[in-house]
Amino acid sequence: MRPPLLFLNSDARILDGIRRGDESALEALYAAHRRPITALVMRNNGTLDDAADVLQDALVILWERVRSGRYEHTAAIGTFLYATARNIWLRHLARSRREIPADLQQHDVPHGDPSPLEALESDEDLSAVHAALDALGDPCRALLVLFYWEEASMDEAARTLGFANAATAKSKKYQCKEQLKRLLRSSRDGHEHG
Amino acid sequence: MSTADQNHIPPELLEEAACGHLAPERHAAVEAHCAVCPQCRAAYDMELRIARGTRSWARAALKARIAARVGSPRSTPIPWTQIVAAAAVVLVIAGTGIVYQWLRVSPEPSATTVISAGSADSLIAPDAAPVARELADARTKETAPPPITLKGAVAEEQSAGQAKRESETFALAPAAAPDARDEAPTPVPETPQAADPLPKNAASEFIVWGNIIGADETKDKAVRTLEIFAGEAAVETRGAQMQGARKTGTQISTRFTVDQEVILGMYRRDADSRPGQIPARVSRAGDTVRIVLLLDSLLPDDVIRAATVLTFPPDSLQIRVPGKVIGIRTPTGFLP
Repeated sequence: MRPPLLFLNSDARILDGIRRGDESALEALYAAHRRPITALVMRNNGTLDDAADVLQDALVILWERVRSGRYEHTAAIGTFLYATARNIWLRHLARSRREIPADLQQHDVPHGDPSPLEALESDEDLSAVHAALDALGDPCRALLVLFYWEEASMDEAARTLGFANAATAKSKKYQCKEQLKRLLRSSRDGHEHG
Repeated sequence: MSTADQNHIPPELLEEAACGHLAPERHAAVEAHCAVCPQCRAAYDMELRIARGTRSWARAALKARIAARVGSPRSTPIPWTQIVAAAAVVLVIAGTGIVYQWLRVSPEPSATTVISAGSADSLIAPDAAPVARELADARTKETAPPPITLKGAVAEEQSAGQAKRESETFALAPAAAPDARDEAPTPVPETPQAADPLPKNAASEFIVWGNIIGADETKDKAVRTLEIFAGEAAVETRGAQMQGARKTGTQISTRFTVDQEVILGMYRRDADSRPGQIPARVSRAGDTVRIVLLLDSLLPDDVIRAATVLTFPPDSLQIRVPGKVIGIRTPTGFLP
């Protein structure tokens, strides 16, 4: 399979695609910006897999910002992705106590200690919520994702998921959250008694 | 309802606080109340867990979909707590008003949205100009690649093996694959330096010269072992597998048909690095097989090991082993 054409998508077109929820826009971005980010990571103690991982993370961040209206298009998307990827990788290096190369030390290097927020968002805690969401399944999970991640209104959620109206969606959200809380509590109890 | 119940924060307000939708003063009031009300604290913590956990799940799901789209094998992600903090830095950078669009300075500063509390401050960079310049440098190098030459032990090794190889001529056996039988051989340039018969795509192609250094012919297939060099490092290997076969050990199956897409395997120098599949194209240029790898990066330490299975129309093509590596060039500027 040939790689996607790289230069046919302007930033505006890409951003428009993301706003419309078209994930193929990310695929084009991945192809277009893979090289400099791969070089960045591989020059700095990373592997090809690391580079792919970092770029995917940067794309998710871009997607999130654009979809939430918090993306300021003052720089080219490539600049945003490159800067994001570099910071992700710097932080990863700091966390894993790997050597931070000299050419990256000219920039502010993040320390590796967890902040209070990160301590709260421990991997274990997030994993528990992930597992509970997996157990919850759709449409509850989709509804919660729409509400918490996409920051959709109940009107939008109702339209997206086919509920009768916003009130129905709101009622369903309440039920879904209660179910999720029960799953989380039972998971915690299971750990404590296990 | 007791007095205590009436003093608890309504669930809707806790939810808004957990989502970050409250004004700072109201948010502070919620936090202050939770500091002295264990029941509200517990409810608020649960709201925070759900809000953050759901966002984290959604990010991971999107990332998995991206990986599936681009065919990435990675399955052990960097924790999102690190990533969100790193993203905050970028948004702060964007707010400095010094962000470049490639090399062009943005005329107006933009508003800043810090998306994550806590560690974000520790990641703030003074301005984004170095980022833009760094990226622009990389892009500039892409358009003006430095010439690459082989040096040191590799060149010496090549020279030593040259005399033996130069006179070898391989007559290829009839093709095994029906699609290969139907393919006409591609016109061959007079010399390796002749016009490139392959589509140029400076963003994704590395042009690598290599040698065929071994042959293993059977009734229905012709196998050639190829050595390809990247930068100053080179390792020679060989393999002989039917097209479509899987990688075993250090051998990688590849499929060669002239001017058809080819899959090569690439290893990095470190032993535990996993091989990746690299789309490539191959053509014959004089007496040298030319491989065009569609890579995204190529570094001096990269070692490409390829075992090739060549299938050509019967009696239509011969390849003479030239016995030396002609050179390697790359449009990326990653090589020294």
